Order: sequence, then structure tokens, then C-alpha cells
Amino acid sequence: MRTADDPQGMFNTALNADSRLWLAGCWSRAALLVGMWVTLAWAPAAELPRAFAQLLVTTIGLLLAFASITAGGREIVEKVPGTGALVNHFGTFRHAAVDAPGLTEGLGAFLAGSLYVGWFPLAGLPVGVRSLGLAMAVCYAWETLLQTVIHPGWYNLDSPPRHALRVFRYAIPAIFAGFVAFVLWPWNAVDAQVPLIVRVLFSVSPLVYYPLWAAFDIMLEASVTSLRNSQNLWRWDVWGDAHGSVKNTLVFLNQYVEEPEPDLEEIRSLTRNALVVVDEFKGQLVGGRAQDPAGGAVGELWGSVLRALGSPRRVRCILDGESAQVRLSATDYQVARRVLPDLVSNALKAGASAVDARCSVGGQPAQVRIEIVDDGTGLTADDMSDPRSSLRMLGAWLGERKGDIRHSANAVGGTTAIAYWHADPAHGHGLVDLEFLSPG
Amino acid sequence: MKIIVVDDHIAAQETVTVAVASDPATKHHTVTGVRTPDELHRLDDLSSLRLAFVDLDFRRQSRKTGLFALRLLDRAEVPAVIYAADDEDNRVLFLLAAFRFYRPWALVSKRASGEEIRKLVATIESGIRPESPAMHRYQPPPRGIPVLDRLIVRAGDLPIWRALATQSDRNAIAEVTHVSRSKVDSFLNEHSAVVAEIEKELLFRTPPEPFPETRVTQTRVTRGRAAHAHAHRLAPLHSFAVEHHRFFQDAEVKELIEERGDLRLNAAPHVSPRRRR
Repeated sequence: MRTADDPQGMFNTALNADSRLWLAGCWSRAALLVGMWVTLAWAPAAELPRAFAQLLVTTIGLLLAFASITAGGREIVEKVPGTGALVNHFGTFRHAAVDAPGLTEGLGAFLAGSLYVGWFPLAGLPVGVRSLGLAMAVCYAWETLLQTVIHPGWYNLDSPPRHALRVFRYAIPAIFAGFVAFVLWPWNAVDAQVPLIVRVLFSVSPLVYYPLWAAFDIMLEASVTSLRNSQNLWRWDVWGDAHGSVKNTLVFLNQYVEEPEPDLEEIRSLTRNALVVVDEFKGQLVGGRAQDPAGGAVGELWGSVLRALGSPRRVRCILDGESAQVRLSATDYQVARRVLPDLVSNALKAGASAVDARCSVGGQPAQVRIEIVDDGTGLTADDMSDPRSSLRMLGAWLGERKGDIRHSANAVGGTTAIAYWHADPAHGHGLVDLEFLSPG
Repeated sequence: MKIIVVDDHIAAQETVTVAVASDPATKHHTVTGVRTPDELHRLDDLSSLRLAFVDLDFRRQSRKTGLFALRLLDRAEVPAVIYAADDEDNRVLFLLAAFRFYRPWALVSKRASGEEIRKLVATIESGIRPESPAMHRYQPPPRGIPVLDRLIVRAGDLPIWRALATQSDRNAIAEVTHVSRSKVDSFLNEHSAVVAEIEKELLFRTPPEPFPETRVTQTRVTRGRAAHAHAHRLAPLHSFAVEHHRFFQDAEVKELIEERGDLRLNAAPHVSPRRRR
């Protein structure tokens, strides 16, 4: 009836709504079916066997409908011998096709209606009970066919319904109305007991499908619009975050490069830092990384560092389990983000096959301490004495925070590097900051 | 001189530190930093500061924005410069608000060189307001009504701006803001021109085609054309609200607008005086 600028979104919404609508429909039909069983209490005893048989078909149809929608329902039906072919025709939700439960329900609805009117109605029912039973049977059939009219298959883009089928969709309400009118025609004296106005109302009721269908389409489009609006806001939010983290990091790197005499080691360090920031951003975007306004956990930083440095799996890099839980303030986290990649990078450059890291915060005044132990070739005297080496520069940088970096050769080979600095005074205020923030 | 950098990146603080330390003329300054306006709020003695570099957006670090930091610094009478890139379009309203409600001493880009930062610090130390052509665009004009005041005329405009960011249907906007649909229409009518002005003058975007006059009371205008005109206004204002939704959602903006009070644009403009810094 209507077109949307996001037909895939409409289809997805219809799919998401379908199983719930179907289940709700099954329960409402179950209530109607119970009502119809109750009407048999007024039926003559001689008529009961065939009335039972007719409603049994309706009941089986409904049970099949339940089975086709409920998880594990298909397997339960399969346990009944001879139902293999039947369950193979349980409809999927991706095609606008009539399936075995649907056909059985349709037949069941017809047989249920035939208890009250038509060519072989039950004799002897009070008029009120007959009219009420008929109303329930019509509602039952009405409900069954509604699922067909708003089936998600009509919105499927991958295998769209054929043109003839789409035309048929428009005809369904009219055909059904004609069919109900035909069945309700006063074929005999018993049928004529049902008031004419009731029969007319029942006959034209399927035409209500048209406005319902239109409303369903409007709801689908509204859902698509809501989704689009949310996506627009989300895009700007993501860009804001990208700007705040990734772009600003690159701006500072660029700003440093533009200085009169940028140092290559510093550029390398800033570049590694930027790579870690990019990985963190990805983690926040798609990896479920917690948005941590008050800094972050060393464990998450460690993961980002390894991924940012590339091929972390070729070397055994282990962060001590206790250290992974350590939380750093926003400032200390950023300092650690500069220190860790540099130290790990140095270890990898030294040909280490194993790198062990530890991080702790303690002491008075509080100090952050990062320790990296590797089994690489170790440092040469030149590495330590060259004022332009990355280690010397890192040490000087930490000096600004009353810290430094120390190296020592391990007894079994390799190097232990310890970087430390005074913890940011804001450390410990993290929870206060968190309270300021909304969950988003 | 004690300088503080209020920026979520320690790199910002380091840039200023390195800039002032690398020249004997500015070496005597001490530079400290906080990551968020909340941390600034927790500092004991703000008035000992002589200069603050203030970022505007703290994203993941804090819900508070630079406008809150400017309030704190203004209260402590600390000269502040905005230290933020104005190359991102979604910052423009924050900048307009910063210069509407306070008197920052300069607008400094994060791309500013060490030399530029040193020069700025030296100028401010001597008590002179530095020449900052970048900030002229955001300062209220000497005469007339500031752009921000025309964008948010009344405190009641803010909920409508917020709803405009999340909804793209006038009825939905009316529903969530509990105003009549005609009020939404008049809001769109009232704000279209200033949005177009911001887009054109400050963001240098191709101006949208002129909005047709919509005097719906005129009998000549058919209902269909009127509806078209509403839709024509709604789309650009919705896009604008989406782009700047963080500004409209900022609690500090709400507070500043409430302190300013509602304006009557038809009457002689009465603009409350800006604060000192």
C-alpha cells in the first residue's frame, strides 16, 4: 500500500513483529476454541460425535500452529508417527506461503463454523448459543487469515512475492468476505435462526483487513523512521567520540611533527599511542568495551597495546592477572598508554619471545608502577646513554610526573624495565565522575 | 604565572608545558592540568591560577562541557582561553555560547604551534588581550541580538530543540514536548532564518533555498502548500538539531539560558551583560 525509503528495515520490523503477533493470535484463537467447545454443552447428545470430530480438526490445526511457532514444537510433532511430511510443510517466516498448519487451521475454522450455520449445522442449539458460537468461529477464521494478510513475506526483498500474488493480497479480504457471506447464506431453516444483521456484519467484517493492513504498514514505516532517527544521532555521537579520541590524538601528533625539530623517537612513540587509541575506539564501538569516563582498566589497555603493535600472537605476552584488574585514573591511564607500548615495543625489538607485564598503584604518595620483563637480547650501553633513545626520552617525559624508568639485566637473560610516576591526585575520584554520567 | 590546561588529553597539557618551557622568556610559568571540568571543580584554590586553557568537549571523560569550566573560572576571576579546534562544525554552538556568556581571552586551536602558545601566554601575562581573529566570528555583534539569543529565545525552546534532534515528525515533537502543533510550526518559522544564517555565515555551507513565506492565515495558501512549507522547514532544522544535539542536551546550556531569561525579540533587545571573562 505504501512505500518506505528503507524497505529492508520494514521487512526486518515485520519479521520481528511476526512471531509475537503469531503467538498472540494463537492464544486468542485458543480462547475462542475453548468457547466453541463449551457451546457443545447445548448440543443434542446424538450430534456430539460428529461435533467432536469437527472441533477436533480445529484443535489439531491450532496445536500445529502453536507447534510451528514454539521452540521445540516441531520436534514434538515429529514424535507422532506419520507426521514427517507434515512438519516439512511448517511455514518459515521468510516466504508468504500457506503452510500445513495454516491449511489445517483454515479447514478447522470452516468445520467449526459449520457447527452453527451452513449445510450441516447442529440442530437444537438455542439461538443465542448458535449466534455466539458463530461469532467465535468467524473470529477464529478472521484471526487466522489476518496473519496471512500481514505476513512478513509480503515485504521480503530477497524473494519478493510475484506480481500475481501481490494482486491476490488485495483480493484476500474481498474473497474472504464473499466466502463468509456464502457460508452464512440461509441455506436452511436452522441457518435462518441467526439474525440477518449479525450475518451481514460477519460477512463484511473481513473488509476491516484493509484499514488494519494500512495501519500495520504505517507502524512498519514509523519503526523505520525511529530507527533512522536513532542512527542519525548515533552517527553524530560516534563521530564526536572519534573526534574526541582518534582525531585529537592525531592532531597532537601532527602538531608535534610540525614543530621545528621533531624527534623521530617521539614521533614513533606518539604514533604507537595513536594506534592504541584507534584500537580502543574500535573496542568501544564494536567490541563491547566499557565506556569508562574515569580512566580504565589496565587489562583493557594491555589488549589494545598488543593489537596496536601488531602480531601479538607470535610472542607470548602475558599481563599478570591481578594487574589486569588495576584501574587507573583518566590521567594515569593516558600516561600508561604512552609507556606500555614503548616498553613492549622495545622488548619485541630486542627479539623477545616472552614478555611479562605487571602494573600496580600504591605507596604514599601514590605511585603507578609498570614492570615489563622480557627474554630478549638485552640493552647495550649505547641504548641507555644516547639522549635521543626512546628510553631516555620516556624517562625524561616521566620525570615531569616525578617518575623515571629503570632497566636491569635479568639473571637468566633478557631485561626488566620498570617505569613509575606519581599517580594523578584525581585517582580515586573515578566513582564520583561516574555518578555524573548517564549510562550512555 | 600558574597556568592550567583543562583538557581530556594529557597531550594538550604537555603541548602547553613544552611550549612555555622551551623559551627562557616563558620558562618561569608552571603548567598543571586536569582532565575534566569536574576535576577543576574539585581544585581547592582556583583563584591562584592566572590563566586557563579550556577545551569544550570532554566526551567519554565527563558529561560536563567547557561551558561549566568557564563558569568556574569566571567565578574565580581566572582569565580563560578556549583551547579547541573550531574546524568541527558541531562545536560552533558551544563557541557561540562561550563568547555569548563569557569573555574568553582568545580562541586557540589545538594545532597552534609552540611559538604561538608562548606569544599568547606572554601577552596575557602583560595584561593585554591578545589579538585573536579566530574568535571574532563567535563574539556577539556590538549591535543587534546575538545569534545564540535568536537560536534559543526562551528556555522553552531547548526542549523543542532536543525533540527536533530525536524526532522527525512535527506531531511527535509536539507530543514529546507537550506543546501544540501550531507552536511547533511557529517555532520552525521563527528559527529557520537563524539556522540558515549559522549554516551560511559560520559553517560556510551552501545556503538552503529561501523558505517560502507561510502565512497560513492567508486564504490563498492552500493546505497542501502549507504542509509542504512545514516539511520544508522541518528537514533542515531537524538536521541542524541532530548535528548539535549535544549542545542542546548540555545541562549547563539550560542553566545559562535560564539565568539569562526569556527574550522578547520584537521588543527592544535587552541583552543581559556578559560576564567578565
